[in-house]
This record gives sequence, C-alpha cells and structure tokens, in this order.
Amino acid sequence: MKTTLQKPATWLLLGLGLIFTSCHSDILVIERLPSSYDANLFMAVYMTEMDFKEGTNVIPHYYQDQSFYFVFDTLLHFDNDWDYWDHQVAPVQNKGLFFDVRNKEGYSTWSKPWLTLTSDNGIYLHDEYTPATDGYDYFFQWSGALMTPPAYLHLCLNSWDENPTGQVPSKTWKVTRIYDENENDLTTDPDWTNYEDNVVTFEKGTRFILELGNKRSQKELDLFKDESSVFGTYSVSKAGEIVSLNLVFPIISGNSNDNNPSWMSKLTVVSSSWTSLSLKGELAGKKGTLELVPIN
Amino acid sequence: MFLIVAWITYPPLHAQINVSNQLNTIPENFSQYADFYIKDVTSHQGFAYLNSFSTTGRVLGQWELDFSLKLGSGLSQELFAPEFGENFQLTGGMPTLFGTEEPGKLYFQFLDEETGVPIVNPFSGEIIGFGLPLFPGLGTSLGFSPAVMPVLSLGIGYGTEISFGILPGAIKLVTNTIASDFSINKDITTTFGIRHDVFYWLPALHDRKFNLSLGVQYNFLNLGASIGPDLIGNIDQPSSDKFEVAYNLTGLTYKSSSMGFEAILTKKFGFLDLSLFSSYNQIHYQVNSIGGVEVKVAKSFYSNIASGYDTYSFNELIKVDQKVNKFIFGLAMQFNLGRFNIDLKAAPFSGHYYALGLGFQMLKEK
Repeated sequence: MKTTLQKPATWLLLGLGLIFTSCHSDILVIERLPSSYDANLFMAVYMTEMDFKEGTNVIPHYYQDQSFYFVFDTLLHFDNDWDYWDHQVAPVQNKGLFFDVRNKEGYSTWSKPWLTLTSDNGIYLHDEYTPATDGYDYFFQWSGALMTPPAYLHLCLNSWDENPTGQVPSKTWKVTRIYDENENDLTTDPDWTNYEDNVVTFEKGTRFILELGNKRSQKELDLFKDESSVFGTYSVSKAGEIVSLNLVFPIISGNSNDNNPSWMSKLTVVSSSWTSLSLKGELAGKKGTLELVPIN
Repeated sequence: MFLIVAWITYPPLHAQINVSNQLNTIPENFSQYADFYIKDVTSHQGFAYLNSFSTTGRVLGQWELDFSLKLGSGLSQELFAPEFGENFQLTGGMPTLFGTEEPGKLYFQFLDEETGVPIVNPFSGEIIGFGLPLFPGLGTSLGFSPAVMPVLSLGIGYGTEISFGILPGAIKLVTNTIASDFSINKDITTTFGIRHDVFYWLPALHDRKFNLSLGVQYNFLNLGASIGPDLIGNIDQPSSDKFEVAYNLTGLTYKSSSMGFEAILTKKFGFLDLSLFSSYNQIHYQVNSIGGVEVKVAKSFYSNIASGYDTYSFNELIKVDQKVNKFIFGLAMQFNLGRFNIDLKAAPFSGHYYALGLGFQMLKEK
C-alpha cells in the first residue's frame, strides 16, 4: 500500500498534532474475472459470514473498465500495512471478505466464499493509481473464482440469482424414488426403507435439517429418540468430474475423547438441477440411487 | 442424510473431530491476538528508550556529571493483524490497546477435519463452539510507545562516558485509572550505557569540534498487571449445554530487554550541537498470562442433557516471545545554555522515534 506518510505535508501535520482520525472511504478493486466472467454475473460482497448467508449489508459496488469497485465506508486494512493513525480501527475479519459470486450456469464461490486478502489464493495487492477515486487504493486481482459446481446452488436456491434479504435462503427436498443399479425399487429393502419418508432442507452456508419421518431404523431411534428432526452440516466438493455431497453429524462420544469421530457420508451427485437431484451411495454393500424433488 | 444412517449401522470411516487437538490451538491463536493487541507498545518501547538516551556525540569530560530527564516516543507502524487458524472466526471489532471501537469476540468452533465445515448441535442447530471476549482499547486515536527516564551521566576520562537511568513505579502511577479491573502491580524500567568519543584520539578533528561517539545501551522493563473479571466481557456459549467455558485469567507479565549500538557524529556550532546518528537495536519481549481458560466438553452430543464432561485447561492462554530488530537513523540537536541543555532527536525515516531531553550539568570541567 502506498501511504502518504512520506509526504512532507503529513510530517507537518504529525509535528503539529499527531492526532488523526480516519473518515474516508476505501475502494477494493477486483479485475474482471478472465474466464468465468459473464455479463449477468451475480456478485455481492459482505463483511461477515452471517451477512453472506442472509444477503444483508451488502457492500456497494460499481462496474467500470471491466473491473469491480467496492466502496467501504469504514477504513479497512487489506494488506496489514498500517499507519500509526489507523490503529483505532479493527482489521478485517480474519477470513477476509465474503464473496457471493454466481453465474447463470450455476457455478459459484459458495464452497469457499471467504477470501483472505493477502497474496495467497490468487489475490495480489498492487500499488496503483485508481482514476475512479483519484487516489491510491487497494487493488486486487482475483484469479480463483467460481470453482463450486452448480449442485451447491441447486441444493439451496430456486434460481441462480435468487437472493432474499434478511433470511437465510433454503430449499427442502423429499425422496421420490430409491432404486439399485438395475433400477430395481429399494423402498421395501430393509436397509433402505426408512429413507423413503425423509425430508431434508439445505440452507445457504453449511447447515442442513433432516426430518426423520415415521420410518426409522433402530439406530436412529437410539440416537435421536423421538426427535422429529436433527441438524447437520454439509459441503459440496469436486474431484475431477465427480461432484460429491458430504454430510456430517457430530459425534463426540465413544471410548476416546481425543479421537472422537463425526459421521460423514460422501454421496456422489449423479445429476442436479433447480427441480431435481439424483444422489448415489452405498449401503450395506449395496449401491443405490436416491431421487429427490423440491417441495415448497 | 441418508447414508449417515448407514454409518450408524456400519462404523464411520472418514470424518474426525479430534477435540483435544482442536482445542489445543486456542493458546497459540489467542497469543497471536494478544501480541497484536499490545504490539503498538511492545515492539517500539525499547527503541524509544534507547533512542532518547544519548542526543549528542560529544561526551562528558572526566568527572563531569549530567542529570537529564529523557522523554521518548515511538509512533507505531507496520502492525500485522493476526491470521487465525481455521477453527477461529472474529466477529465484531478487534481494537488494539489504543483502539476506539467496541471489542468483539474470537469464536472457536469445532470443524469436521476432512471437509473443514463447522459442526452443529444436532438438536439445536447451533454451531458447536464458543466466543472468547477480546480486550477493550483505551480509546485514543494514536498508537505510540512512551519512554520516560531520568538519567545520570558521568565522564570517566579518555573520551568515555557512562550513563544510568532507573524509574520504578512510573507506569503504575500513570495507568492505574485507565480501565476498571486493570491495575499494574509492579513496574521497573532501567537503562544503562557506555560510549566513547573516537575523535578523542584524533586531535585534528576533535579540536575542530567534531565528535564521533560509539556506544552500547541496554534497557530492561519488567511489568506485572492484574486483570479482573469486569475488564473482559462474558464468554458467548451458544451450545452451553455442550460446553462450560470459563476465563480464569487474572493477570499478565511483560518483560522487555533491548540492546542498541549507536554512532553519533556531531559538529558543535557555538551553543548548538548538530548531529547525525544511526543505531542498530533489538527488542526481545515476552508476555505471559497468569491463568487462562478452562473448557469442559460434553462427553456426548447425542443427549439432550449432558451426562458428563471432559475438562481441558489452558493456563498459558497467552505466551508471546518475540524479537524485533531495527536500524534507525536521523538527526539530533542539543542546545547548550550554560549548565542547561535541551535535546531534540528524530528518526523519522526508519520508523518514527522522537526524543526530547532536558539536562543539567551538575559537575562541569573548568
């Protein structure tokens, strides 16, 4: 960051008073995304994870010369290079800023929306003059964008640019079909039947709610007693062409408290859209596919 | 969702939450925060003391004795915000010692170690974690490191001068009203040094009122403080039935030792000594907490009423041990008015260190 500290006028002020308060706006500049940019790209930036989830307190921005300019009312310290008068304010969140970026194809930043504003992760700081603000600003290039497969948006939203304000968007799915590799129905299979009336809601972020339904296995009864629903967390990942949905319940019980497992299930996303979801998994050595549709 | 129940039937294969390993990251991360919080002082104060110690290259003659009050300050710069681990998230403000904004909390949350996603209480949906409150700032607009020291200097002949300063209790005196439930128990600061005028051996330069002193200086500061519960806010425990977290932080100790090597080239013009100086300095500071935090984790999360807890104690919540090196150079002036002198010294280009001295020569060569 280029500071004004070296300028003689600043020294004069320093000698006179040594007391400053900062009240200017800062500009964060992100260059046009080279490969995944779309004219209808949805982009919103937030200071906190909760704002990211609820779509609140979005940082105002404008588009100019193929770059996004984000305007901050409060002084931020993206590069950790502070001047002495900056110490009255806090640095940015430790995870940086939260970027909600999506395109029409459903690719997004949701798997890792936060960007630590350092030279890591393809973000580079430049000292450059910014004509738009007539001064030196914080300038970043962002090269690692929109790597999250569309399944993530499909799980939670009804359209690629849906962004309700003040509430965490979510979407509820129910099972419509369970079948094996030969397309034989598994709803009467003793290992699979209890999933038939399961309903799951995926929230933007990482939380899901599982409604257990009336059909329950003995293990479900042991763990969840008569609870009608339980919470867990999920993530969507991609390895090669394989998209996985990872579902996690915490388990902190057992023989060793220093090695407590949580339960995670890694399901393969066979296909996904705004109106359908097909997941493949294996249970008791038997492969099965679950088809789900959203319910309102 | 579905195959999770399969894992209930068949042993889990993947995800792990190593409670102990994840909790053990708390002291390291909180120490990063603590270092950040006080760095405005700790990384500059020793330099401020050393920089204010000598302000001219002209040393006292044999058995000349000078008493001075030295005032120094280092203006803070280059403060690095901590980079917390994956288990942590900052919410709200994180003021420094001089900060003005409301302090927020540093949230610890358990993560699934394979996916990196935070886990939630299966019955309430809340994140399984807790928020440690951060320290409040003093509410000033400026971060700086003050240095005050009365110094006695004695010329011992052959162009050599020794100096010594000590100030016990000064920090306690000026800081005891800055915050409730915070008090300095003890503090002592001492500085001593020795320097030699090289041009003493070069009469051609010495007689033309040039001096070049080479010196070494050492500063030591030892401080102990008490912290009461009112200084720190409440711990945020959203999944309180799964956790019992308590601060038992009662105090801090702070030790700083600094050593500097300084060269001052001076030309005397009538009553004015005009000098260029450069010095190489190192600060070694240590901050340790007295007490820390105790975390009790429920043995099972699949019970609506916790049936027992495992206890994890972190009595060294803050353990900071840092060294800072800095090369300083700048200008100095000393106005000699009979037995009195007024000193000004500034190192504006290699940091921000300024010094003012008021001296009285108690014994003077005739």
